Amino acid sequence: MKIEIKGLNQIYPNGNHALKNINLDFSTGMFGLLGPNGAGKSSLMRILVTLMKPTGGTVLVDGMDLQKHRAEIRSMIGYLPQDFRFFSSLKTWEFLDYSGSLAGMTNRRSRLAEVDRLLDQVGLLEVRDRQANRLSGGMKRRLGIAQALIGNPRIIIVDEPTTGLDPDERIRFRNILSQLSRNDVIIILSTHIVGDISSTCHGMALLNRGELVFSGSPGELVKSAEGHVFRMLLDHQEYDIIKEKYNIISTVPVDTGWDVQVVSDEFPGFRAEEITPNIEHAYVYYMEHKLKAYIID
Amino acid sequence: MSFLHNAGTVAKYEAVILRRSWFFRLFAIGALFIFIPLNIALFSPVGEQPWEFISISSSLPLVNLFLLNIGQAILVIFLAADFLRRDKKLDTNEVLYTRSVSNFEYVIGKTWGILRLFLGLNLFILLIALIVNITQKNMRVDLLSYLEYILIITVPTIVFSLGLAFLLMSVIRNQAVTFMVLLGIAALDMFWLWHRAGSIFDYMAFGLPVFKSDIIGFDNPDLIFSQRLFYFFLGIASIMCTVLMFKRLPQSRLHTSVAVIFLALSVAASAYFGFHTFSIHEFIHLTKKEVIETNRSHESRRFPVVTDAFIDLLHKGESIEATARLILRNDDKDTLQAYLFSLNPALKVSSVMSNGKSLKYNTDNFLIDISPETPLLPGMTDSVTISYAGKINEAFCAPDVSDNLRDNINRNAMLTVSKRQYFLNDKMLLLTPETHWYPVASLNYYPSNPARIKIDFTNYTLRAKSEKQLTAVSQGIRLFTDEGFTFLPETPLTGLTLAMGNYLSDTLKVDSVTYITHYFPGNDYYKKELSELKDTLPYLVSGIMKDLETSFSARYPFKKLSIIEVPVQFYSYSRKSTQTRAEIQPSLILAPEKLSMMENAGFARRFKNQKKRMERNDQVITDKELQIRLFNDFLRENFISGSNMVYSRDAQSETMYMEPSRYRLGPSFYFYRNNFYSSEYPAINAVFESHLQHLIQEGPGTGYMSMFGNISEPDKANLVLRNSSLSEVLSRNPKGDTIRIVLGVKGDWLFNLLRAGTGRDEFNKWFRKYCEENEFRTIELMKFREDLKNNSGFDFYPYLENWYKGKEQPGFIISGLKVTETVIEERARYQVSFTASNPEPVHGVFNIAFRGGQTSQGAGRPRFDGSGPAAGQAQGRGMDASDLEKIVLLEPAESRLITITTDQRPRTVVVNTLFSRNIPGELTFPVNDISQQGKNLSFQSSDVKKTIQLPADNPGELIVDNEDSGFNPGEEIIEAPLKRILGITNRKNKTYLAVSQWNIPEYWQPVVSAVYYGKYVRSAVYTRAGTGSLELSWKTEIKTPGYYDVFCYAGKSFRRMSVRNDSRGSAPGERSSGSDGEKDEDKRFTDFHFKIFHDGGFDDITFDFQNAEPEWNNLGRFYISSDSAKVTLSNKSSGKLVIGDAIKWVRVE
Repeated sequence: MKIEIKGLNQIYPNGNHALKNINLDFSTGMFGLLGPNGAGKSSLMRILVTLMKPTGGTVLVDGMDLQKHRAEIRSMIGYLPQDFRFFSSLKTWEFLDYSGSLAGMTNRRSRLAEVDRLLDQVGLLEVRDRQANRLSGGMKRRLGIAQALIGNPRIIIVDEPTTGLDPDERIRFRNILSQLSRNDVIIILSTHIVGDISSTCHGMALLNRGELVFSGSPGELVKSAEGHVFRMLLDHQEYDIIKEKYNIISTVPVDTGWDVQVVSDEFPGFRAEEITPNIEHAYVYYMEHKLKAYIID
Repeated sequence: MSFLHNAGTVAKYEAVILRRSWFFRLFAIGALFIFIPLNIALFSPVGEQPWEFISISSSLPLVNLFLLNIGQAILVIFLAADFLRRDKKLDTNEVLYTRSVSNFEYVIGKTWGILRLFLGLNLFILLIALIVNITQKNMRVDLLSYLEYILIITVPTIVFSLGLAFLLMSVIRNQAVTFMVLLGIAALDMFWLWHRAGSIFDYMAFGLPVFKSDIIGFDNPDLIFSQRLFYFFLGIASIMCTVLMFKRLPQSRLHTSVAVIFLALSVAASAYFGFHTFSIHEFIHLTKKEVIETNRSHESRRFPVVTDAFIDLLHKGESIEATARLILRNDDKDTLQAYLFSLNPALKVSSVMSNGKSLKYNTDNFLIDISPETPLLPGMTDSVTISYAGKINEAFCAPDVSDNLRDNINRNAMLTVSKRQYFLNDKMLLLTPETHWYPVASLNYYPSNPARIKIDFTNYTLRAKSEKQLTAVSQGIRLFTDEGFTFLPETPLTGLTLAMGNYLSDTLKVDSVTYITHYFPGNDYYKKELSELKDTLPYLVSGIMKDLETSFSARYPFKKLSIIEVPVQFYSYSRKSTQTRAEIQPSLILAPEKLSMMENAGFARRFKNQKKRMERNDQVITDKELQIRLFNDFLRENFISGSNMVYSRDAQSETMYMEPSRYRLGPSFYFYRNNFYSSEYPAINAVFESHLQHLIQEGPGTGYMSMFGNISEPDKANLVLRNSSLSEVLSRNPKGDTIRIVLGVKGDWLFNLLRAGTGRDEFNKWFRKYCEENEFRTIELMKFREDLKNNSGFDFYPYLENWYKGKEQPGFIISGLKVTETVIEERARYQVSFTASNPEPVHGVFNIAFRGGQTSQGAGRPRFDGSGPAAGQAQGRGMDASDLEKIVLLEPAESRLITITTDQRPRTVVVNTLFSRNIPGELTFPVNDISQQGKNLSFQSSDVKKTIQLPADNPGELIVDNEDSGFNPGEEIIEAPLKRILGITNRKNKTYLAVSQWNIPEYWQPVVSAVYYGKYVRSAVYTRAGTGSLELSWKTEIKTPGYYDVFCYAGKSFRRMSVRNDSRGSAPGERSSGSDGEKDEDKRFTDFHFKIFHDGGFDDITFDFQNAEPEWNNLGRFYISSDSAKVTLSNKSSGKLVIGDAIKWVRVE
């Protein structure tokens, strides 16, 4: 199972160049798509789920052109869009049944069993007969996940899935995706929350202003920040200086002043000690330093 | 499979979503709340059970779906327009778009979802209807019609509405605009388009005639199916367009191609069916045009008279084959070089023979022009045999009548019924003379004079056989042989009618007439419902016939009277050459199936209702008595009197009028019995018919008509004739009822002249005998003239020229009414005298009747012949005119003192001015004072000629009426802001009306009533009360300056005697209302605001109309010199209406 994106471009009628010559491959497993708001993640997603036709470039799914084999590709897709709030007047189970039926589950009995299984999995079995519109925001999101999963899709595309979820639900959601990623499926997870890119993602890409700025594994991203993340204990005066000079990632007040983490290309002094970066550090380092340098170059 | 699964899934959940929408829920609940009670109230045994509905089984599903369809056609617009908007608004729908469903499947699924939901609702409503239908014993269950109406009405309406809504939403992409456009289209259909261009625009089958007969089923399947398929395919095409334009990336080339193919096919199919629907209309339109032109080009041709006809007819299902041997006579003064016949244009002539030899002939449309071997000399006879076969083209029958559905609409309650002139199919054959199913020696329409007609009295012998083994019914003596049915002539007839069907018959012989009913099996329900009448029936029928004979002062001329049941769609158009409708034929009545559309049928229900009512009122009546009453009511209301309200439009206006019931038997006593003919005055027969069958209606006056502010028919006719002669009016061939009412007035005038010249009783006696002696014969008018002259010495012919071609109208001024009482031989006698003047330069005839005794005007039930007390306008009409006291013929510019002596105390003197400038033409004078003249004084017995004297010539009196030049109705100001913005001007009707109960004009509308002031035209103007924006003014030139008393005329009814116990009688000319209550003063007139101009400026005077006297009322005394004599009246009032009539200035000496 493989998705190949070649030279993908998207220009909206208002002139907004949302995607600029994107070249990217996805293979089985979970893939994280990271980038700030407006980076072009949703445009890429909408193209991948056949809601939108790209202005240029090709997308091949297992060698099939997305524009020519929509029927086949659509039958492989499970999609959870970014906005998923307003339902027609259907009950929770009906909405899922509707999706399942359109996903090709023709046998009513097995479809209904699958509906209940998924509702149970996302913790909505108790509200299966409630009107979908009357669910809470988190529940709606979970219903969205369930409908994306129904019919055993081979490509699962979730756009900002954890927005509005409480921490418990977020963890539960990550777990569901992790479990799924063990199967022969491609999961593309788009987010602007760095924490969503879990260690289970075997690959990720960083988009900024429509361009692909990084593509590789989360480890590679973290590695690129090694030697550039520092921790220091500062008094108030020092803190004011550092604040002006460096990107502070975290600030924790301590008795003598501040415990501060910064990213920097150079050693910042002030008794700084180099620490092992995590993905968040790496994201900030990448966006704030490598990208700036790239733009200036 | 995938298509069915996907589309089925979308449909399933789309239906669920719609079912849960508020729109649909409210509609469905509303529908249940309406249709359950409606069905119970109309059709169930505990309901009203109107006979027009329950008599025909298809009406039950049709009423339900007709009403439901109007609602759902509108609702579907809301739901469908919501379709794309919802897809746009609901972000969760995006996930459905990413599923592997083609746009074709998705849109079809949505459509099917909506459609099946509506079908479910329709089926549910029909289920309710069906349950009611089953419980209703009087009604058959026509299960097939339930299915048929869903397919005919619901499916095309919804598919088209959906398709259009989808398409518009895809194109416009704005829900509000789509709503407005679609609602506009729905409203256009219901209010404007449904009747146009042969129903082609009627997408919701709002007016499309889909009423189904229990005898023949649908009469017009071709039109119904092509019109409905047109919209069905148009809907499918729109849906396919939506598929192709759907805002989602397509996924299936196959499905896209299928959509394109379906689009192409459905566009082609809708184009075909649309064109076919239009061509049905166009064919009728063109046929009519061609028939008129063919008639026009042969108007001057002469025709032989057909004395005998022998017709052989074979019914072959949807066509006939026939041979007609016709015996001809030349009644003309000149030799006939060719024989001209007209035959229905869809019947094709195969041969014309005479004495065993083929004759040369040409056909031109419906005309057969035969060249005889030798020309036919005057008075000689010949015979021709014409063989022909084919179908019937019914557009030929009434070429001058528009085929627009709304003109002469045939409705059974709210349901449109077709107008079939004939039936020719496997189940039924009905051919009336109007179809010209056999060769007729005349044109069927004279464009330059539509009142003209040529009538032959012919002895018809008919042999009729049906390949479908149907029973034949016709006029004459019926014999049944192996050869089929033979009908031998009993009396000469003006035309022959043939009906074939599975008829059963009942016969009753009373006196010398045999009454036969021919009905379809199971349709003789009346026998059971009127079972008590069995023994009494002969007496009842005999009584009714005697009443008829008395009413028309003539013997029923036929030996039989057959009532033949025909499918409900049979309809006859009114003609201008006669007012006899095709439902009545010589010795035949064509009655609608189960008498469904006839008044007072449905005896069981009426029996129950009346019985209940009587029990409530503690009245005791036996079942038999009640059934007798019901039976008599039915016969009277249909065959003797009875009228229907007709809505008609012509170029000038839209009017409503009462039309005599089409089943009236009057024609048997004149039109089918006698015929007066004049080549010089071709309308003479129509004029005689109108008068002798008393066909003009009872005036403004009665019932609804007055509420709409209509004036009486004679008044309308006199307004038409104000500047036109009779011949001009006829040649203009106006639409609507103009010809009918003009002929009526002219007929009344002519017969009043004949009676005035001959003496009423003398003329009546002579004329009755004359008609009897000339039964079934055409009488030349010149011969009639000679015969009358020889008998009475009176020659009416010199008056005819002016009567037909003259434009002048006489005008009558009646003054000085005086009633004197004396006692002769212990009996009170009364002399009524007054002066009648006719200042106009033409002869005038008017008649006088008294309304006396205890009978108050307007009270009492009108007699069936229209001469009853409430039927003022009918006075002096009919063979006898026995209600008249006197008929007066005034020379041009003649005044005469009229005196009449009577035994009965007259309360009101009614002068009917017939044909005159007087509007209203009926002048009523209450007798307020009767002077006593001692005992045994002899009255003056004869009229005295006087010099012409006109009232209002008093010196020192200046009167300006609203008809005079000094009157100015002011400028029209549009008050309504919306109308002003949109530039809508008021629809101003220049003709006179009466003050209306509804729809009060915002401008000064001229109205007439005998209570208003006027020389001939007693008129005023009235308007809706307003803020003072409208103003009337009366101006006059004052020659002598000085003090003047200024009066205004209050045109209002006298208070009725019973209301105020004073000496006044009932109102002069108070005639405009049917019910007593309406005769009280109109409380909508209250305070009027006059401005009186005088030398010191002007004074505002508030005039209390409520308490004013119905005469001149003094507004005050003012010093006025020449330039200031002006009075104005504004529309300001605290009441509802303001009326202005006349102003009088009287110099104070």
